[in-house]
Amino acid sequence: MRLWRRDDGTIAPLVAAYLALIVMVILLSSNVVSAMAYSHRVQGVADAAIVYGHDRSLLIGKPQIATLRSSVTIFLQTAPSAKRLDLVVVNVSVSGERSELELCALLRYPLTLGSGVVCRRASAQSFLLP
Amino acid sequence: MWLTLLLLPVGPMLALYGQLSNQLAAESIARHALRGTILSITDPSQLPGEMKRQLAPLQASWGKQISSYTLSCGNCARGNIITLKVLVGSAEAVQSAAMAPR
Repeated sequence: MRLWRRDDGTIAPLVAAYLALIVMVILLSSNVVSAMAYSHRVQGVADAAIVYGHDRSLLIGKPQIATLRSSVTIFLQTAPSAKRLDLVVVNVSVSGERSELELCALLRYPLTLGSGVVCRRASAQSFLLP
Repeated sequence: MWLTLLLLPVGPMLALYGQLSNQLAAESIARHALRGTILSITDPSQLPGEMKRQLAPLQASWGKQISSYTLSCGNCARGNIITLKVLVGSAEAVQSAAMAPR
């Protein structure tokens, strides 16, 4: 006796699931890489802004908070790299001889709706070289 | 037909990752090159030479070719804001910093 086996149906649901999975992976991974690239941009602006402000606010080796704050603001308003950011938080502080800055910028994801906030910190201190 | 459909997302996906990879490299190269240059030079006249020297190892470590870069600093006096624009493929990154005023 011979047995005949036969499958009926379609693999369309499998293909649809596969495509949905691929699209999801592409969207999520592109958001992650975009956030990584954006964090470089924010960190670069934070580093440059705090060095700019610290250099201009020193009085006998110590940064003055009012001058530091205004210098950082001037940098953030004039530097082309900073003008490209959508800044939501700018915290300037002084801790002893160290100037500190926390910068948060809004990131709009390129392929999906929605946005995130990328925060970076930078600090600067001056030293006397022998 | 099904195989074509299954392989369809691969092309755009590779193109997208290529672009994102270029963007990541451009942002990193611009940030580190400008930072390294600002910390290394003592006079604005050293700017172009030092920038070229900083960019070479960075693009080699990323395995990317910088399409072009431009450096602008007004009259390039001490304390001016220096802006570096780096292009990797079609990805553009801009970073700015200033030399110490004194």
